[in-house]
Amino acid sequence: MIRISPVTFAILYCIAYVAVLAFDAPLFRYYPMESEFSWGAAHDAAKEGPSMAWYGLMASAAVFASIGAAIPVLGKRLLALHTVLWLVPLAATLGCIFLMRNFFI
Amino acid sequence: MTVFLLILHGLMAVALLGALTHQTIALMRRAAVGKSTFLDRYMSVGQPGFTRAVVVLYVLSLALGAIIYPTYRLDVRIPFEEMGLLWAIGMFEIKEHLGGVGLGILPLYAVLWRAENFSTHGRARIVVTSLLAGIVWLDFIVGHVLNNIRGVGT
Repeated sequence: MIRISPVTFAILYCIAYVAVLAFDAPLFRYYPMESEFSWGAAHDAAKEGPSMAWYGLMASAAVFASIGAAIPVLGKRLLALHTVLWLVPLAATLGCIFLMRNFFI
Repeated sequence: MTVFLLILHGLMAVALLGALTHQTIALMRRAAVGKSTFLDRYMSVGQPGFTRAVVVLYVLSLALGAIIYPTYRLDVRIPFEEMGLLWAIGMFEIKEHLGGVGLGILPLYAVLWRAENFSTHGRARIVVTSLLAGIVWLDFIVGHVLNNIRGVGT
């Protein structure tokens, strides 16, 4: 039975989310005009209208985090780092804001 | 239907804001024993009891936002692009990505509020709870402002 550590999942998810956002690597894209999904990060030229990456970005981050969180030792070790544990979600939040800077300059 | 879901999304966000803000303020300032002003009663709330409500409300609110999102992408974002309102698009992008990060933070938040971690993870609990509250406040305000510029369903 694989046990997923919630602490490891959260930390790895934060790191993975910023990474997949920075590299534009969603697991899939959604095309709202056609109500269809398309696997992979690349824009599907055969589909009409804009694509949405958000669902795929969360899925990518969740897959990476789930794989890492299945490693049993990581959870306890990470929780033991409680003095700096909070830095990762904070850095992920600031990282996401930083990556959106092009909309404001 | 979309307008109904948007209103439900907003109401969920209000409930979530209330729970998270209450928990964060109570966490930052312990209640004074023996006093009974409104503020003292506000701060002497059983903080761990909020955790499950926050997790459930966050997930439900995000799920509703995810359902409405395609309508925003087609009916709101495209007019924003045509109007050259890049800052508004950028604010929504920040809203959606912080919402996504917040979803990932929830398991850590829940663990930090477990009784066995209460005496050892004080700073992490304060920062993570405050961060989650900040994300929810920002998302709420941005959603409200953008909906005022051009609402879903207009």
